[in-house]
Amino acid sequence: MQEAAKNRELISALADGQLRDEDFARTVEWVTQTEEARLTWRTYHLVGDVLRSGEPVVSARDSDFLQSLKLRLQQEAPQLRHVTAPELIANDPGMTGARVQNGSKYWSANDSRFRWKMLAGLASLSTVAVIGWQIVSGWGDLSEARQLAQVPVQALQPEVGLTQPGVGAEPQRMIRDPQLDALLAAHKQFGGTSALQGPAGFLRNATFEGGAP
Amino acid sequence: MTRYIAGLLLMALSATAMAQTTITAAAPAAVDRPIAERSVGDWLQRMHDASRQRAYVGTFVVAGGGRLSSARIWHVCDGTQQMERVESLTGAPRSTFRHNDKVLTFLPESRVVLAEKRESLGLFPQLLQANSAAIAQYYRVHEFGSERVAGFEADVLELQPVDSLRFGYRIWIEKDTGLMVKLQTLNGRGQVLEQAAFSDLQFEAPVSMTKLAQMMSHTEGYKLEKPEMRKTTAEAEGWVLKQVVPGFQPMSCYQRSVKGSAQSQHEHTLQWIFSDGLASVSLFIEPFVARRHGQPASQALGATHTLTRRFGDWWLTAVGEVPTETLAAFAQGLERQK
Repeated sequence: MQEAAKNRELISALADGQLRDEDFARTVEWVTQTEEARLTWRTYHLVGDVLRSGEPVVSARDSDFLQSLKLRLQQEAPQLRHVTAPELIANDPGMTGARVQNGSKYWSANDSRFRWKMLAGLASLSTVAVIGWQIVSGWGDLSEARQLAQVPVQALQPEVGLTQPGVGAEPQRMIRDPQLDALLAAHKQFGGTSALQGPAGFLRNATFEGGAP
Repeated sequence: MTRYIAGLLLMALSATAMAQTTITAAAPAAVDRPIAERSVGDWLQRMHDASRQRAYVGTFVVAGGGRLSSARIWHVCDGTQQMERVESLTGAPRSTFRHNDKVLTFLPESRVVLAEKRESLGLFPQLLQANSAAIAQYYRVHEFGSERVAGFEADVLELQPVDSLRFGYRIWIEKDTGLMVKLQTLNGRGQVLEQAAFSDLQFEAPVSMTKLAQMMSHTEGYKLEKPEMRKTTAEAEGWVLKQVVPGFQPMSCYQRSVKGSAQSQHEHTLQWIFSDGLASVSLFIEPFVARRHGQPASQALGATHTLTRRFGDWWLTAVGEVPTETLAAFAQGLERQK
């Protein structure tokens, strides 16, 4: 069982282009020789395709599997919002610094790149019989998470959460109460008591609609 | 799968426990950073000088709380005078003009122009000097090399809070000018709560101060509104903060009219302002009115959090770019003296 899981991990690494030398040769050989390995290899790419586009090019006999996978993904996706990827990471405030030293610069826990990976991670759980990624033991580790995020994560890297910062954070509810808006505006008038919100903060407040006068 | 979920729960629990411990033991830790790095004060001074010495035109984008707002910015400075025009590109049309500490916001739809004085903008240099020591006590600065923003190379640094009573900030500072070109507000888990950045930026742009001044003076056809304000002290108004929130100093206190509570112009709201140098908190205290004030609640919009609470005949609304726990600490420490 452990052997099988290890082999599947090798296939995962192979598809990520992470294998070299002997490991590479051995895994390629295994994939070409056994039906089970070939199936794993194909499913692995299929999962990647579904996650990336939702509409992969597949042969007719894969379509049933694809349908069920998409269904499972739809079921999993709402749960993902509650789980929130960042909670998977240690909540140490110094963490951001540590990550930089690890070579992954400036990625915040909730940046969309990481969310994508988590989607990949959860999708893999829904098809856990197919690909035995080591998510259970490794989910606390960002570098491990990167390995889970098969195929071309590179192509999908957006600027750090510019479009949706705070996604995956606690739900952002702000009831539009004119009284509260007025108080927010009054607070902003003195936002300049903060050094960061000096001239630059003025721009932020003048631009931001929330609680605008 | 079960192990996975159990792990998540454990993580969430330990996060809560951690947050609680840090709040109760919120004493600032010692500041230790490599000597070679610039201090918080150096960086802030550099950023401040940038806005004083440069002219630029750009598009500024603020994202947080599920919203994306943007505005066109014109900034000009002749060494002594600063002028700025901010034209909103999203939401209701809004033009904001700033001449040093004087701010006019034109709302063309309601034909209203709001006139305010941003005392703190005028005071900024002094404020900066007074604050940088306090800031260094509660935030550690880390430099993270450089990155490109809006086409410019920028130094990246992070101000990490030493406790859980404040948020962290990641700042991108343009290498040549020192202008802050991007700012992220981060919670204790490193999540981006809010982000503000220039999406395009042009330095040494031909911005005419005279032209901006002309636009700013075109108030015909607009109704001028000014918030009524009277400087006071919390003590004089019968309020005291019995339990101080670490790092937050009282800055000023006003009795003011607040738009929205318009029905009774006589009613005034007390605004007591605190700051730790980077984040600010306003405590608004007004008489409790059952039909207007609902249940105590807390909300968040981007990095701005609010908390409401009833104090007998009074109603408190705490607002600030701080975690809800910090607002709760303020509410807990507040006491009526009279």
